[in-house]
Amino acid sequence: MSADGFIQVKDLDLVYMKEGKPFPVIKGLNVNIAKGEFAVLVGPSDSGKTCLLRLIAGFEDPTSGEIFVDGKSVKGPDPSRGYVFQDMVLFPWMTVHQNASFGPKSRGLSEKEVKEVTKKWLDKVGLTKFQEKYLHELSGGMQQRVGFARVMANDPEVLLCDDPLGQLDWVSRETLSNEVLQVWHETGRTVVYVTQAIEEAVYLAQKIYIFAPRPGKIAQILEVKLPEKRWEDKDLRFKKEYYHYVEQLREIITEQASKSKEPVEKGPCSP
Amino acid sequence: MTNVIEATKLKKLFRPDDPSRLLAIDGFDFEMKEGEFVTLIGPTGCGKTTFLRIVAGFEDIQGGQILFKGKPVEAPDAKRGVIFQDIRLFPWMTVRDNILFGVKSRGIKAEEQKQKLKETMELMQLDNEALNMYPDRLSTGMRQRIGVARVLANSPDIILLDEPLNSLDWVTRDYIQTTFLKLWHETKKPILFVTHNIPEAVFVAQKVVVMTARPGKTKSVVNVDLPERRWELRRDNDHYLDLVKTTSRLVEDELSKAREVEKVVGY
Repeated sequence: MSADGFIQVKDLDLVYMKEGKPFPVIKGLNVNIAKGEFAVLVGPSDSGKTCLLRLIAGFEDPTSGEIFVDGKSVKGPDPSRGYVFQDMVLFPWMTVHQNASFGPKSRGLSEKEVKEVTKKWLDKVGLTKFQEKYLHELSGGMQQRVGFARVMANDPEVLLCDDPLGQLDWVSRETLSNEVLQVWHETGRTVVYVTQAIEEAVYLAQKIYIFAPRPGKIAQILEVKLPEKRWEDKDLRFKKEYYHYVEQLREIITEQASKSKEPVEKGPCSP
Repeated sequence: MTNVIEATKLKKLFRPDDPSRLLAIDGFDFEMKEGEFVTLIGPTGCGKTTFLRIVAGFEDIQGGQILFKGKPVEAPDAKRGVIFQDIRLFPWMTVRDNILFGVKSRGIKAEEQKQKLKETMELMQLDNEALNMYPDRLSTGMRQRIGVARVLANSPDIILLDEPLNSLDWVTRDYIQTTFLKLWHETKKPILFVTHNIPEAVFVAQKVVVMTARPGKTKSVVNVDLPERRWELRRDNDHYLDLVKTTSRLVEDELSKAREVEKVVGY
């Protein structure tokens, strides 16, 4: 691993045009994320978190600056950078199994390999019993598990998550965040995760990157020094040491947000 | 003190024409006193939103009784202001017309309308920039603020909140939470807040009513004896964390029972 980080974002600018005028979304953003790190991006509304995630995914190109993943410049989407969307974007006409095996098949793995890798990930997310079901037969939490299985079956180096649990109820959210942590811990992959919930940010992260208001850049980094296997402590979510970070993060975000007026209009990367 | 809401042996079927189908609520007793801030929490599908809709007058019931200030609820009424999860602003109206919709429908004079608009805009920290825009251009946070403003402009006797903070970014969520806490602190207007976010449920309320898995009944009531000026409270407060833990355990207990229900679809 180079000292510069596994994911290296250098002098990034992203400028859109709006009513004929330049509209800067990200300006001079620099960040280094280590291999195997669980990085969480938080910040005021419209500060460019989702935009950064999409740039790392290669869904669009920055106006200037560059992103390197494992030393290679990002030029477009790649299965080595898996993306879990907030609203899943699964194929509704396919069963759970077909959804999960889509990536491995497209990558041209042998039938046997496709079977193995699909089985492995459906087992891991607890969906084996439901593999012949269609998506509308599953609850929101189960659908999001399919989303994870589908991405993980591609064996990505980097997992990019755009608030994947944001639509779920609180308890399912807590359960699934434990599962996400376990997958991260077992596979040792690098995760970049966007969330709106500060409790979730602290629970998941090793490092939290806090954005300044638009045009976005990293204002501050908060390192969360809680044990790595957080799911083992059933009471962690009610402990002072955990909420101490939540409160700290709340103060930082509130301070950042107060530096600019809340945007009235929706941002270019919001739905 | 009188009860602002009183439900006795409430029963609600999703399909009244076919009683063998899912029971949403069965034998639900609930009471809320004038001046209380209550949150209603429970596993997905327990009927908490359905109950709020019954209080609002959007749903008929198949048994029991629902009273608002001693009178049966029969239809929606501007006295019971509802703020929905997905806001539902009128897309063909400007922000100004959205906020004033209820006020205008009640035939209030132009001068008073202006005053109402000014008051609610101040309360929700909205500035003139947004007033002539249509909702589709607005950020989620701004849309939610306007949804709240539209209801408050009606000066309702009770505010019913159906998970309105769900999809908001932290800063807006914190702001709207604080607005309701301060509004309640100053006016003691009763607020019934439905949410699945346990830390939030405890943070805002005086009383958390935990519902059982479907068909929903009251499982337990947690009294939140924290200071009233809640917006000044730190979330790493020991007593607050104890209450969050107690509430979480109650919900988790019900959730394990609800898990099987969750997997069945078809309603």
